[in-house]
Amino acid sequence: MTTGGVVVTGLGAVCAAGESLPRIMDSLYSGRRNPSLPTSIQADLKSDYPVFEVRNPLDDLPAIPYKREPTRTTHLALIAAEEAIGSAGLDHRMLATGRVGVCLGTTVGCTLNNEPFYRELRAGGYPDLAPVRRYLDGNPASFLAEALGCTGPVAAAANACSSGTDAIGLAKAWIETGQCDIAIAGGCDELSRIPYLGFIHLMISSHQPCLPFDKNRKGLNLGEGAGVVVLESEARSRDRSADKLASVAGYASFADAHHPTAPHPEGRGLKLAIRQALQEAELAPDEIGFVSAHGTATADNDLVEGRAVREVLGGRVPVVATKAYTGHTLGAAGALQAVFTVQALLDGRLPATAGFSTADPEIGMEPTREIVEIDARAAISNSLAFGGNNSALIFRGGLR
Amino acid sequence: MRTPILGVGSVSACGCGADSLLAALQKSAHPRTSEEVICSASDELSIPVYRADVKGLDRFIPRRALRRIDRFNRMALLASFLAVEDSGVSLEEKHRVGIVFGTGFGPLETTFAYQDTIIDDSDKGASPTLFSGSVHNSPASNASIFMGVRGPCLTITNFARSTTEMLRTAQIWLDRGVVDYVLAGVGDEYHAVMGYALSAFGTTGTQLDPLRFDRCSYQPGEGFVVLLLGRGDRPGVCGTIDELSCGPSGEKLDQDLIDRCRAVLLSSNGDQSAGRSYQDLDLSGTLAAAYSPLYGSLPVGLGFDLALAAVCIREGQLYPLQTGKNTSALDIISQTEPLDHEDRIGCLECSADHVTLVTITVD
Repeated sequence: MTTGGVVVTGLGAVCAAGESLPRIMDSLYSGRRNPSLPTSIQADLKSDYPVFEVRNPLDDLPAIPYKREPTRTTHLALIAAEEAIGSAGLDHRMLATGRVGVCLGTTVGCTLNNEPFYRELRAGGYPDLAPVRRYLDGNPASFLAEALGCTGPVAAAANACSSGTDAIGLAKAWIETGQCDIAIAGGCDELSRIPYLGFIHLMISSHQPCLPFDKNRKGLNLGEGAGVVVLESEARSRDRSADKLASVAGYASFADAHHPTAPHPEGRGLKLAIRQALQEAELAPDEIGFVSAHGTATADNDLVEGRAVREVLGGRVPVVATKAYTGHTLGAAGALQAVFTVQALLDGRLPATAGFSTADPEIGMEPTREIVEIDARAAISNSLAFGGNNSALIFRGGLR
Repeated sequence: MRTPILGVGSVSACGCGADSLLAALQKSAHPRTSEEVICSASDELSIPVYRADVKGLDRFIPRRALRRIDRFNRMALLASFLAVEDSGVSLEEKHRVGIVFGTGFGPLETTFAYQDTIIDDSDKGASPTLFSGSVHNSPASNASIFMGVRGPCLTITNFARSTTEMLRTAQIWLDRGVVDYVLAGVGDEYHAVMGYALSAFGTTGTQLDPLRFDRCSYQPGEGFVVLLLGRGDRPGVCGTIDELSCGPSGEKLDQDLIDRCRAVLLSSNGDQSAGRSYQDLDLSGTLAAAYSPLYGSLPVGLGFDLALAAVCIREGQLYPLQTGKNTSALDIISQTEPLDHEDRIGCLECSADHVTLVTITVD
């Protein structure tokens, strides 16, 4: 069992807001967002639905001789992981010779969603098996572990929209229980027609750029990307004089046990998750400096999440919803939020929640309207998911 | 970390419940397989598939509530309810119970049924119900909803490594006191797309020979097993998991750990690429068995072996299983062997990228 806590020593991200963390934060602090009609997805629908799409990720992949051809999802994961590893001051040799685990969340990346293959098979054809091979080689966690030469625990968390948060929570537990010394943790997902059509037919996608927590919100926009953090035991990071960006002070997850796609109306599981994470972090609610909300801009999510945050943390804590800049990146969402949370703690400021203009009295709280200067000791990042999963991560800053 | 096994629930080609596994072991009889016709580019052929027998869920859930629950979810739900029933434990503090499931492929039938609605009814006809049921965590979520479980609920998907990481997670939760009980399960289901891919890859055989490491004899299986695990301060009526060791493929196993096992259950399942790793094992002096002919070939076979080991421990006996030709130097269990207090059974899984050994001790 490791004592002394788990610290974040590296951050990496890629999403529609930028192809590296500095570029993304620049977009967020500038209030710039770029939802657009999808170029990688064609759909025969009456209306158009914007997405947050990463442009040309292949061009940005660092030149490393990987054994297998990456999928778009694993490609995004590699970009974020390389940035995180570099910012942690680690290299591939150190990863391959240490006790390093890989824990990534995903939803699209673990599903055999190759429509052309399936259409041909259904039509009586004999489709080439390349898509199946790519799928079998494309488990994001296994792919990354192999690419980086990591030999510790390897897990892909498939917990729908909380996958990225849960992956970081699980990796934290690995280090605390001595399963590994370092963990590459986060989440990744690409845009795909399958969830694109699914969310539209669930009637929770918006025709317009999303408006998190706004009274006139119409639903989510899908996005794609990856977020990765490098986690280490505090002792290990001290031994190698690593720059400690934050500590992962608390994590908890509770189920609503309520409905396959809707959150519990009272936010039962989310409130438990936030309270338990606070307890683990040994923090009082008023010590939380800001909340990085799940904030999908769907009617149900924002209502339930906003009320739960207000009830547990009070109505004055600043709340930011970054899906306004990234779209809902599914398995990557919680990981991207985690990366932005740590970076905001370091920067001492929060971006405005783009798209928000009109407070919803039903929710009773509103997210950031403009850049907010903060002096936060700790921050919380929430994720809610299909199936009623609710997870919360708490990061503590001020370690430098 | 010591993790007592309190109950076993299973849904497989052997039938439903721990008793169905025991009956199959006692009869040393392979379950009946169904012939699935596969059209491949070169041929039309039929392959035997170990289809799971999903019956009796209406004992736990009203039939009306089951209408929208797909087959994979039914397997997971039934195995979960059976594990709790088998344990005799009353799960009262539902927020102190966790669910962690592992799966190689997730709900395949619903994944493709959803795509069918897109193909048949156009993009405008995509089914939202099937979409939401196609996510990998739907079995864990449904178990949470129908059983009222409110602790952490996680699904892990790593193909052949799913069982290892599922079990590691369950042990961590229990060891750290996150929960008092965990429904720890794994499962997979067959779909014709899998049959096509397997036949095209040339990996199927006419008879599953798990000890013929030099050739492919993969026969797809499906099912779900769930173990109810408790915290380490109580005896496990089905044994106690005391070691989980996992390393890269080719890494030498901890010989001391192997030597402490009375017998080792190999999760070999006719997959030739993994077979080579089994062939190279040094298990001299330790009895071995391969029980995959009871449940078929699937990525989460290690989970079924854990359930079978637990059943053996409760019965106090190891059972022989006729598994075709043995081309290895392994000392295969040939007759019923009694298990004594503190005996250990090892469950060993080799794959292209890892080797896992889980040991279970008779309490």
